[in-house]
Amino acid sequence: MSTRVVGQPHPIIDAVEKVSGATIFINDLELPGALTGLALRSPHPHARILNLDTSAAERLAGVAVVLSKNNTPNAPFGINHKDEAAFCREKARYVGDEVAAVAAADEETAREALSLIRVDYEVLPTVADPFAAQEPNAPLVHDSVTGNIANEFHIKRGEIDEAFDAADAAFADEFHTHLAHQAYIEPTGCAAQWHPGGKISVWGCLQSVFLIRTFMLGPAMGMSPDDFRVTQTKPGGAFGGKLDVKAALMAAMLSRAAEKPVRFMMSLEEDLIAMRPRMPVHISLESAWKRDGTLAGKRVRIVAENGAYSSLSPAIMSSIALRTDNLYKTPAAEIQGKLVYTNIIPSGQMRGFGNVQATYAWESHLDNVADSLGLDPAELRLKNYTEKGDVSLHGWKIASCAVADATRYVVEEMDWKAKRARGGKGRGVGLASCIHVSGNKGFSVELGPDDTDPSSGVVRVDEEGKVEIWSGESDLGQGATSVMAYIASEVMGIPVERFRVPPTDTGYMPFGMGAFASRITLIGGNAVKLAAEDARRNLLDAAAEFMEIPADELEIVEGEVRAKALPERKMSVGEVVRRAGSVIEGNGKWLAGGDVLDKEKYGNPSTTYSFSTHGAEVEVDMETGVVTILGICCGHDPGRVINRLGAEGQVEGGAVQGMSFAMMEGLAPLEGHLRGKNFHDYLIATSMDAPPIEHDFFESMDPYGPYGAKGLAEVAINPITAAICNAIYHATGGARIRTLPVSPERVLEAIEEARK
Amino acid sequence: MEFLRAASVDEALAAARDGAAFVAGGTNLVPDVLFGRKKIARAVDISRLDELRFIEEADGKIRIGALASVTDLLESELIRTAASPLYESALEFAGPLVRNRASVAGNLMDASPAADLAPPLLVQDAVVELASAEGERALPLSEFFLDYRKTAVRPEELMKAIVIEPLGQEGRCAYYKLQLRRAMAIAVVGVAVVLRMKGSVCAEAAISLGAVAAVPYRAQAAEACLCGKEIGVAEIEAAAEAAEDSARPIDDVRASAAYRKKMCGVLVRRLLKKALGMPQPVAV
Ligand SMILES: Cc1cc2nc3c(=O)[nH]c(=O)nc-3n(C[C@H](O)[C@H](O)[C@H](O)COP(=O)(O)OP(=O)(O)OC[C@H]3O[C@@H](n4cnc5c(N)ncnc54)[C@H](O)[C@@H]3O)c2cc1C
Repeated sequence: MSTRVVGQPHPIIDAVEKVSGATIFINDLELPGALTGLALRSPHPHARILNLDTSAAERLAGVAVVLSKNNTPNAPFGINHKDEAAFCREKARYVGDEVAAVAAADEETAREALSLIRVDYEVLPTVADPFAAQEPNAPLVHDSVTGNIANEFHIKRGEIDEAFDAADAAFADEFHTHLAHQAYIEPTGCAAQWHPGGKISVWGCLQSVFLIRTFMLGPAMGMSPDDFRVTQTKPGGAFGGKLDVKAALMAAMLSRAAEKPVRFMMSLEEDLIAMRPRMPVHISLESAWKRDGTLAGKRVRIVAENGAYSSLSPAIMSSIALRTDNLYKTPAAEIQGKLVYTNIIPSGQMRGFGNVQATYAWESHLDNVADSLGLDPAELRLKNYTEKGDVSLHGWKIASCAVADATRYVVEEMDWKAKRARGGKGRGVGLASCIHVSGNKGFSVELGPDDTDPSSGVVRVDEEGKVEIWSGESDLGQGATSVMAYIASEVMGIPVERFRVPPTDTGYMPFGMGAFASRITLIGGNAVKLAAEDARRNLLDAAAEFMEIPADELEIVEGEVRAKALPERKMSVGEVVRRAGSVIEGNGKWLAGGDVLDKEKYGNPSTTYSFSTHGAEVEVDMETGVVTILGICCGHDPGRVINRLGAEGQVEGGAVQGMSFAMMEGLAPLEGHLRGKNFHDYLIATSMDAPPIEHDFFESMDPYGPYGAKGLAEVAINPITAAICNAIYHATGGARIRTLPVSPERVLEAIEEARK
Repeated sequence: MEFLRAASVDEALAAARDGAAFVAGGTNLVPDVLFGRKKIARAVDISRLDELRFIEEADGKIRIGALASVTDLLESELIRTAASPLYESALEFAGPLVRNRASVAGNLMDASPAADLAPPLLVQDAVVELASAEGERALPLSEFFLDYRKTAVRPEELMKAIVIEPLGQEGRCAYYKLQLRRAMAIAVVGVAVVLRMKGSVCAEAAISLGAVAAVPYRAQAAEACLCGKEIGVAEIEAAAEAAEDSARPIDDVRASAAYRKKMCGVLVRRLLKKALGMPQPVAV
């Protein structure tokens, strides 16, 4: 279908506002009379709270309230396990755990108040290692959870034992990933304002303004979700980290207690030690193969580090366990997962939702297999990829798929064959692929209103011909609002410049689940598309009356309703609205496809799936282990590109963020204490580290997507780590990186191991 | 905390008492005070003392004013040609914004084991000029660092300049900073070498190492393997081994002690060969 707006390169709709410094971020938000909220955090990884005395802090002039277990009810909350509370009750379980919070007239007073709170701790042995944690005599993070196992599962699908028995070859590997932070530049903060009558307004950069009310604010505060009006502030970055934001709870509780507005802004260090960084996992893989490189079956064992509290971690572990099986035609699989509590910062979701870790392990393993079978790694993949129309081993229905095209592009663009043939001598190329959901039905049940994974949109055209889109889905900097504006503009024939998409607000906007699982373009985009179609219909119906021409003989072009046959007979959209009333609206609601998985995790979790292949070329200093990434090349299947500039931004940002994770990031826990707690010790890639990136899109025109589009956010990051590790393997003649990040030291160790 | 902006060197020296600290670029001091690592009673701002900001040739030596910034080093033809290890270290130093503020004196006075400018200054026999109300003195940089973040400079002393020997015709040199990213990174290991050749014989050898002991230092045992000799593969091997032996690194978030130690040998070997224009083996 030919399009006017969709597929073109547009700047994001609030670009000028952002680059000119006009954007109001949470830290710029002024609430008259607001108090400053701060938290007292546990300095110990694991400690019993013997006594907690806040009286001196309460007496300090300027202090409005001090909250702790002493004066708040025990109201546990949590998405999967109710294992968290606003404040530590009997124990502190990680360095950074909230022990108390104060609200005071200013920051200085609040800090002084924190220093006046007396806590007597009995320091307990730290549970730091997820394997030691499972030993019979290990100390318990949660006294009622034996073995420190938060979740476990064991699934067998297909004739797995037979697959291994009949295989020509079988291979095994182990991989370990590290604790890495989302490292957005805007530290987390929230503001809250209590209103007489018992309602509370909350502001913050949040991935889901609607759901934080139901999974956190409501239950933790003993209030109804409807008591909260949550408004999104402009995003300073999230990458998964701003879904379960406890700062919102702190601000809201302090505001309720003080009956005043409260601003609760975390420092960078607090953010690094007390948010929800990407889950570290230990993955053992075994795979069975036919001699010609056909995959026969795989066994996966996962030990995932939960940290002190669970939140979404059980779902992340599931995703790690099953995801890669759907990228290749996998006849049989056996999967075991264990999620283990430790006294380390609770781990959580980050861009990829476990798939970065899973893809790193499996795609690294695949190159080991290819090497052992004497096959080209690209050929091995091309032989086994899933295809459109497939139903995977786990029940995933592949509605569109261009992963093979993406791989062929990378192979061609990188001059793969020549470079593979050269190989070794410190220079090499590698590639890796991934599959990702566009929305996940599981969240809808765990977090949402029902099992439909819904999204709603409203499109309103005013008397000046301006259009406002209301959607419950949040823009986290990924360009969601722009995507919605372009879709609606395409549908309505009104120029993009006329559109405005205000920040998500539960106070008046229709429901949306929020920004996660790469769901917004597909699900939110479809809702807005339906709403735009409805608004267009209503505009044309009204115009038909005024122009005395049947609606089906009218069209909207450049913001004008025109008679198709007689273009000079026209009315501006604004004029139509003026004559019809005050606004013309359209409504749309879209329910995601797919199903909720059964107990055995079988089913089709998403409407459709996105794909990508990343390639990397590296140079390895064989004496120091220093790796230089010479270039990255990626092919993506996002169904259809809606905004080319935005899509390119996702792809380049994903590659660099993934490269940064692979090469240098890490909170580096040591006995429960994090060492990377500032941006001096927690390294993220700089522009100097970003290599040249070549890329292209392979549009599979998804049957369910708005104009054929599906998600792009997470496929843009998943495969790069394995692509780099595979390039290192090739460059060094067999140095396999089994533990992340890829430090020079690890590379050197792997080189030495490969020489043995 | 009291804040005083000095209008002259004398005014700065007069104010340097009772827990005062000089502020040059502030890139170490401001975060130190902000995060409670340092407590100071009085901040004496010397950043506007333009008379301390210069790079000049004097009596056959290079004099670098205390307030010369890392950017000034990069923009100086003299430094680029006659002190190229220092120039290269400046290239790898932080990022443009920090380089614009960071002073040479501040880098030495902060006395971090990983101070990037220390190894290249050490191999060019730097001497620092210190002044106080009592008078002036010169202190070789090799005697400057006493222990972890401890220098031989008295609290009331102001560093005015750093004097180094230019490389000259016979100077052969090389520099390398092993780091975990390409900018804004604390060195894992920093190495600088200068060989002053008399024909085929090495008249003087200087090898310095950073981030592998409590202080940046000259690896004298390694230097002894080269001094007065015709340098071949055996001498280079001996020097590399001695350099490795001399290192006393720690484990930290960036690297293990064992790795750092090993890299001292690898990098000294490599830099000596590079300085002498010898072929590097293609490692496979
Ligand atoms: C983001 C960032 C990145 C950095 N990256 C690097 C890097 O890559 N490599 C590196 O080596 N360092 C780095 N640093 C550290 C710092 O920038 C350097 O050490 C810098 O040279 C310090 O100089 P300054 O003028 O800012 O010193 P200041 O902070 O002003 O002073 C540092 C200390 O020296 C004293 N002092 C300053 N001038 C004099 C003087 N003339 N006489 C006596 N005492 C004096 C001060 O009292 C203070 O104790 C970095 C710092 C930051 C914040």
